[in-house]
Amino acid sequence: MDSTASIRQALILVATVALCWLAVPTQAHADDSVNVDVRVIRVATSGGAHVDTALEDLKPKLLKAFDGYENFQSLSQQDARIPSGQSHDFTLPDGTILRVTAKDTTGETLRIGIGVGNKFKTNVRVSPGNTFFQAGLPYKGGILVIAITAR
Amino acid sequence: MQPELAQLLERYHDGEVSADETARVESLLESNVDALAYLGTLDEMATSYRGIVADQLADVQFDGLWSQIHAQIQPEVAAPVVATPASSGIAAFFKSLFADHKGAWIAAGATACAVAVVMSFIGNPTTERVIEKQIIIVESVDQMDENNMVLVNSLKDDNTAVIWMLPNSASNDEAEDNQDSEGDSDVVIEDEPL
Repeated sequence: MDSTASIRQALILVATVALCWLAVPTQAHADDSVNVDVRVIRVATSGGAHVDTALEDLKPKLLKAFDGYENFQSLSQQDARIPSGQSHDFTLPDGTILRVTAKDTTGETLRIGIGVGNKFKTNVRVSPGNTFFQAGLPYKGGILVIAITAR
Repeated sequence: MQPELAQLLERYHDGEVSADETARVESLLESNVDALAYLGTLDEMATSYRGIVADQLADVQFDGLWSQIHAQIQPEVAAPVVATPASSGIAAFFKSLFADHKGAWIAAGATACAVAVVMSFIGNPTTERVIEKQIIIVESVDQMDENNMVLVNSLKDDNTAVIWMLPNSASNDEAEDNQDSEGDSDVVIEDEPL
């Protein structure tokens, strides 16, 4: 009887640990919000071939996506945690407001809305951690490239 | 005296006879002098024996009897008896719990490790999918400024996309060097995931 009770106790302990492990959220966005990282880059065709050290992680993508441009200068980096259904405004160096809206923060991909001033809006579905760019606003002899990463 | 009668009288003296035998002996004692005399002899013998035993028991010392007996017990049999008085308390309880059911605890530990290994593989499906399948889909574009046009350039090799906003009056050289769009529309939406 004692051995049976001890075995039962051991199995209950193991089952409890396993249930606690299963209770830990496995989805990346169980809390219904998205972290958005916005990096603003000035890109120009002149000024000498140069990529700021702060942009080393984006360098391969920048050189491929903006072939023909040689000078990449990091201007700012901002990040925000945006609850689902809400927006956050990022101010760009030229005064334009970049509005990012968290539209769907569950599932495999994140659906976010991007609004560039009063010029255009777009909805993008992106896998967490992936980076895409918005480019074209003129700025000091070059253009602004906005690198947007959502997690 | 007949042996059978002697045995009956001895059993009667020791109280080991049935009711019928008791009646038979009592009837016999009323008429048989030899039987009565034999029964008296049995009483004398019993009295003498009890006196002898009592005298011998008076000389016996019971103090330390248990210790003497215990000392003669083999050590491996005596050890648990010696340890029993000290096996109380929580520490002794847990020690016996683990030691006595080692097999069960080993099985439980192996099961817990197996569960942990399995859960580590299925615990973060989202992370694995991000590595294997990077998705960027520009679902829609709402152009609000007629002076600008929007182009989407998908770079499948680099798993990224560029949403270009260019003035309508600007030359298309820069956009043509970087775009893979088709058609004449100002807005090109790539609807296939990278």
